[in-house]
Parts: sequence; C-alpha cells; structure tokens
Amino acid sequence: MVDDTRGQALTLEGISAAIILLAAVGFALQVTAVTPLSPSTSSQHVESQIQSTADGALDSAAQDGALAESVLFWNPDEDQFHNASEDVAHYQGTPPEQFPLSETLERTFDDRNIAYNLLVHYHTDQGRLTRQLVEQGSPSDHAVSASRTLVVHESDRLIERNGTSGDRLGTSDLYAPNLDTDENLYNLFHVEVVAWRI
Amino acid sequence: MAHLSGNGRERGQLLLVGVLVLAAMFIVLALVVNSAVFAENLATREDVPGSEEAVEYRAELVDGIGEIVVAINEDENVTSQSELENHTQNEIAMVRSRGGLSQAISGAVVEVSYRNATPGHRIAQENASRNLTDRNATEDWTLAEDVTSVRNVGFQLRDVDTGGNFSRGFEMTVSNGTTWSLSVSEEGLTGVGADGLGADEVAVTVETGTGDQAECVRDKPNATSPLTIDVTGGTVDGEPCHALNRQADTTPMWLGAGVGDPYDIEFDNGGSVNGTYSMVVENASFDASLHSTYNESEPYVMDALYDVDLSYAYQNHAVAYEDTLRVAPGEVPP
Repeated sequence: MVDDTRGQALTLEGISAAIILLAAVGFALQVTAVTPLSPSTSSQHVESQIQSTADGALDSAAQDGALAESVLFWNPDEDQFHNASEDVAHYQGTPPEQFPLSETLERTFDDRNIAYNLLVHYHTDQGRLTRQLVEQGSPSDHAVSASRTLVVHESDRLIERNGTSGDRLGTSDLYAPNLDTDENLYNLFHVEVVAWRI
Repeated sequence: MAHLSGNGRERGQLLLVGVLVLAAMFIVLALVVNSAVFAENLATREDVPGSEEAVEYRAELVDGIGEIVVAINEDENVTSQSELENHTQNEIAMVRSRGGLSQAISGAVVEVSYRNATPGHRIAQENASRNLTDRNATEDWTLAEDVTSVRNVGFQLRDVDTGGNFSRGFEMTVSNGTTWSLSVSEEGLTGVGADGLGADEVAVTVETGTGDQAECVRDKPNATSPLTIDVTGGTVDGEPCHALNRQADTTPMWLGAGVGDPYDIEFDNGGSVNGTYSMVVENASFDASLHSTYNESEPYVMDALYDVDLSYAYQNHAVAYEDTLRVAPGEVPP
C-alpha cells in the first residue's frame, strides 16, 4: 500500500527518531560521568589510600626510631647523607640499603608502584628550611603528602654509615642548627613524604 | 481509538509510549548510578572533615613532648623540680613556636601551652657492668616504698647468670599484700634441656597477683647485645613479649596489675644479673639503698617529672579542636 502523500511526515519521523536516539546515547554517557572517584590513577580512592599508607609508614617509623635515625644519617665530613647519589647530597631513586628507612619505604611504596619524594623541614633563626632526602622525580598533579613532626635532642647521636651511633649532636655538624644551646632540645624536624601513583 | 499494534498508519502512539518508557528508564538509571557515586564519595570522606590532622598532630605532640620529658628527666645536670619545670616550659615553648610555624604553612593554627607538672622521682643505674644490688651490695632490697604509680620501667641487662637454679633468678616485685613479679633467669618455668630452655637462652617470666604465670624466651645477652626489657611497653629486645602484656587466658595485663596502690618495688637476687635500669615513680619514699644524687657507678634517685599537662587547641578551615593533653611516657593503666 503506497501512500505518496506521507513522504514528508516519514522524513520528519526519521529525523526525530534519530534525535531521540542520539539524545538517549548522550544521556546514557552523562549518567556514567567521570567523577573524581572513577577508577584511574588519579582516583580519590587511590589518593586516600596512598595518603593513609604514607601516614602509617611515617608513624611506624617514628615509633621504632627509624625516622629519627634517617634524618641523622648524615656524614658531616662530606656534608651529605651517607652514600648519597653523585653530585647531590641526597638520594636519587631508591635509597641504599643502609638508609634506616629504606626497608619501610620499599615495602610501602616501591612494591606498590608508588613514587615518592622524602623531604625534611627543619628550623633555623631565619625560618623554616627544607632539605631533600630522597628524590624520585617531580610529583604529578594527584600527588599526596603526609608529614610527621620529630623532636631531636642534643643528646641524640648521628648515625654512622654502618648504622651504629656516632657523635652527639651537641658536638657535631648537622645540616640543621642547634636552636637553643641552653636547652637540650636540638631542633624540630618535619619529615614529609610526597607520594604519587606511577 | 487507535490500535496499539497494527499497520504503519497507526504507529505514532506506540512510538510515543515507547519513547516515554525509555526516557523514564534512563532517569531512574541516572538516579541509581548517581546515588552509587554519592555513596562512594561519602565512604571515602572522613567522619568529620579536617579532624584527622587535629588528632594526628595531637599524637605527634604527645610523642614529641614525651621525649622532651624523658630527656630532661635523664639530664643529670637538671636536679631540682623548679629547674625541671623551667626547662620543660622552655622546650615546650620552642615546640609551640617552631611546630606552629609548620602547621601554619599547612593551613592550621595550633596553640599548645604548659599547664602544670606532677613531681616524681627517677630511679636508675647507669653502670652497665654493675649487678643490680643496692649501693651497699645487698642482693634483696627495696627501691621505693608507698609508690602510687610507676612508668617507663626499663632494663638493659648485659649478663644473666643464675647458676642453674630457677630460684636464683633476678626478680622485680611490686607488692601490697598481693605481689606482681617479673623474673629473669637462665631457667624457665619448664627448666633447661629437653623441652625447656637452650643453653644460650634466658626466660623473662611474669607472675601476677592471682598466680598466673607466663614467660618469653630470648637469646642470652652479652656485652655487645644486651637484653632490653621495656616492662611498661611490653617488649623484650624490641619485640612484643606476651608475658608482659597478657595472662594465659589472654586477659590484658601490665606491670603491677591486680596490686592496689600504694605499693613497694623490690629487687631480689640482684647479684644474678648485670646491667642498667631506669624507672619514674610518683609519691614514693626512699631509704639509704640509693644515692640521693646522681651517681655514675651506683644506683641513685633524682627528682623528675612524673607527668606534664598541656592545653592544646587546633583550628583549620574545617575544624576547631581543643583538649587537655597529659604526657606521661611509658605509663600503664592504673
């Protein structure tokens, strides 16, 4: 049954069906929008996880003393951390085995494909300064940071290359100055981990 | 009335209903998916946004100022209560200004200030090659009487020689009618050999007031690798020791559990072990068994701070938090 007067209506019908279909597909795509929680390397979940892991690693290292040993793993003769990478005073890439925090860092970050920078902030009379401890690159936009405050005393000792205790802080040179020679407190350190998924 | 099905001529209404149903389905789907996203979003948030930092820094302060109190107590040049308090206040002020700067950089204002301190005494021996007898070489002696609380009890033993006799084991007792005791011996509860201890092992045994006994076995110490017993922390050589923190039926237990205060602290068979020790007590009386000033070769008792109270206030964009902190490192529940 051919009706030659309905051509125009059929065309319009076809066009509107196409529009509805396209709108439906567009809407369906909108429904599953990319939110900060959508799975990707920059997901909020991943960030929260790395943040909590970093906090936990710092806390446990502070508890067993490895954190304090790490900031004191200093070679005053060469003015750098023991076994530092060439041309810099810190570690580029993975820190050497002797570094007191290396095992914690490796288990927490390296094994999970997370890159990190380790910084130590300390105080001087001029204000707060920062020294790099471990450098693994420039943090990406979704990097997270965790930090921990550490009190160090004059009676604490530098840590030697082989992990034994060396000279007392009161009598040796560290990158951070003695804030007040009248008090036993030497300086206040803030160890910061900046970590990101690679 | 048009038919819902039929030939091409009457398909308009069917198409319309179909499209409406489809549209409604998509809207429902959007709601479902979005509520899932929202639930996930909520699940990853903190209970109170921003509170984590406030509580975290509070814990860091308690740890840091705890170390300050320990260091000041151990400083042999700081002898009187007023000096102890002055140094503590000065160092807390340093932590407040320097730590405050770092917190300000991360967007928070922190106020921490000294409120008061409870005086106490520190009993210690620093001569690692001496045995644990009193200053007159008496083997069984009382360190302190009428103690209301004790914290940070630690031993570092270089030598344990009980000569094959469990009853010669070095013993620390906390007693007031009932007795809690810690002993270190070359022979454990099960004796030596066969199923007992090896020749190069020592046992740390705890007997509670109710007669419950438990032991941890560790390598025998020597001059280069001492046996470090953190009695209040519940560790031996840095590893948790179950005998120090729970009974056989897994009830939590700690130094002096089940012994009412005030109690006496005694050492028995002090001649069986060599090494150092330290503890801080509150409200105790001492006799001539200890030197009353710092002594580098024999046991002594010195003024110390038992605890320090601080007020703490933390404020950032999301949360204002205030609390009073009590710093008493290595304290066990009363």
